[in-house]
Amino acid sequence: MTARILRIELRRSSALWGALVVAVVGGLQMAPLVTLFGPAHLWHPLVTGQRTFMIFFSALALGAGAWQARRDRSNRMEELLATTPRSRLSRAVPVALALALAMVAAYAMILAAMVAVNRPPLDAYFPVGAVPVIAIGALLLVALAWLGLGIGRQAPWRLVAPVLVVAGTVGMVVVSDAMFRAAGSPDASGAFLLGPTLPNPVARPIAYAAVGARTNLGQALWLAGLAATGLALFAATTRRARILALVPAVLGAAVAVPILPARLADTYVADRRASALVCTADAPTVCVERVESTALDDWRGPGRQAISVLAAKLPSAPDRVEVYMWVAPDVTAYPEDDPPTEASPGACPSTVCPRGTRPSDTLVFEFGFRGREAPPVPSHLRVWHLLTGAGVGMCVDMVFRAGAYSDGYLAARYAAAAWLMGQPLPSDLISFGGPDVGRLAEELRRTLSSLPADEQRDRVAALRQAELSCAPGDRAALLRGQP
Amino acid sequence: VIRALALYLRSRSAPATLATMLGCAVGLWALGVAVDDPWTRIRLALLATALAIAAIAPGLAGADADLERIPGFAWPPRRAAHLVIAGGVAFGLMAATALTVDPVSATARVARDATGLTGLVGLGAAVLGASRAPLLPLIWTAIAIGVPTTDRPAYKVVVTWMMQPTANGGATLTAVVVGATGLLAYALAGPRR
Repeated sequence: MTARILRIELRRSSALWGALVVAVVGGLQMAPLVTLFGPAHLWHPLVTGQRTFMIFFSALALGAGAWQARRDRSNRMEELLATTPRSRLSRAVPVALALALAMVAAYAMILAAMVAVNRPPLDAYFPVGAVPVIAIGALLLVALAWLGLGIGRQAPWRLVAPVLVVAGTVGMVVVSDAMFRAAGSPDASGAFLLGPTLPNPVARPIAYAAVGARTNLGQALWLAGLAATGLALFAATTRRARILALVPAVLGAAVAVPILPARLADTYVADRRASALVCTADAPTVCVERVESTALDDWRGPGRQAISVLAAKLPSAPDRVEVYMWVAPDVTAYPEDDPPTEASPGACPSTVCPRGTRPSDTLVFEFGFRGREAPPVPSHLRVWHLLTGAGVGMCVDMVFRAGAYSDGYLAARYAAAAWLMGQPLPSDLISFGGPDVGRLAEELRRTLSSLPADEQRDRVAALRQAELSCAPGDRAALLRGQP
Repeated sequence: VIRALALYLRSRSAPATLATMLGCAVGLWALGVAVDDPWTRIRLALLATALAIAAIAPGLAGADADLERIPGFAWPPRRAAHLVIAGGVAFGLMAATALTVDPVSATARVARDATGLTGLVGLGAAVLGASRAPLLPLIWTAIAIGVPTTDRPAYKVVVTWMMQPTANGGATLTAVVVGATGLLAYALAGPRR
């Protein structure tokens, strides 16, 4: 019976039209934005981006609800229906369900449009945490549509739907504006999460962030309360019922606020599955982060080539390669796990060596820059990048000297790579540093190759040792043989 | 004549329209005081203008279309006058607000937006009927505020004409064309029944 009524409501009511408007406007808005949310293969920025930018179309759901609620009035059916003995609720529920189904479909269609524009590879990492984020976005649309039903029923005037669309958009824009302004301070209240938008992750790279369970649960409860209030308002016929209808929303907010994280900065938690390593099954092992697992094939060959070059030319060589596209040497993935401690004498301080130690048996290549994704690396340069610095990452406190790049340091690292490869540096390898880095590196390589073979090997091995411990000293002088 | 005009305005729910427009003006003034971000202020001014113009819609048709055909009026100029005056009142209110202490939006911008949006609401009345007429201006506004604003290619300027800087000639042209089309459509065809 209910299913039949629901089918009829879906066909006859304005629910599908309302959802069509939401889907078309939302799709047109999101499709051009989607490339700004993050790299195509990351699902999490895609789904949180839809949540953040739905403030510009979701108020249309309010209007759609208010429009639908005016149906009895505009068809002059109110008095006739008031004489029927069945409860208002039994008439309200099928309409509300039809609208809810239509809105969920609209949200899904917008997501589909985003995916169609910015197609993630099928084997890309799909975080399980994306599912509740999508579900809560759809729930927000349903809650707004039902709230529109309730308001439209209690205020059945023609201008209510347009007023709700505009007032709703203005309200959401203002609230999200306030949230983004507050998000700059670490003490911003988590109660901002009752608003429609999600803040940007700040504590960790976007690829490693997942919306926390407390955020999801609090938002779901608050939106469920809001939806219940809308439905109750839609069914209310007496003053008492109208006042009681407000209870679920108030209750939802009261329950949600203690559940939501106390600080806005704690909206996200670390997605450890995303940052865990995925490695080749066979030795020598080459690993990438799981979010970048589609790049494993790109790095397998260059990684193994780098290992064999190092083994052939230097006394001690790594037997494992780890490529990190999202951590820079100066960014720790989990600041809360690695609080900076006073470095004991001789140990590598945590600001210099975020991983604590720089292992000599693993070639760790951290290519992200301050938590942003690495730019795409052309395939012919991959092995060069791995061998720069004789297979050791940069020491952050040596890269910058007095606010500028230390060209000599960078040149020495590139010269080591050129010596290992036995070729001059490719012209497109050097992407940062001063204009002289390439010339300096070539000079160092020539100086080096004019020496006896043993001496060459000893000097590059010394550079590798110095880089492994981030020992102070001039690396270019080391290659030149000046103590 | 005054009596006839008063009766006409009442039959076209002018008080509700005017009250909504006033509400938009007051609301925009309050938001102008509260919100600093220039980008957001432009969006808010556009939204308020769009609602003030959308509020014209219910008045674009009378309660009984057959009854209104009985007197031998020349309706087209009267309909045109109704739309132009209503749009002008909305523009006046919004521009007055926009000119308060700290301008929320430039007068030229409000004028351009009001012109195009009034045309849209007229077009909506002619094509969809008076009760659905707000759909056209509101949906276009909703698309324009969410889509990134660029100055090329041409079709993107047309889509986001309301969000373009006032110096953009293409956006102004779009507003004028849309405004004229809507005015003509409504004046000649009248509200769809």
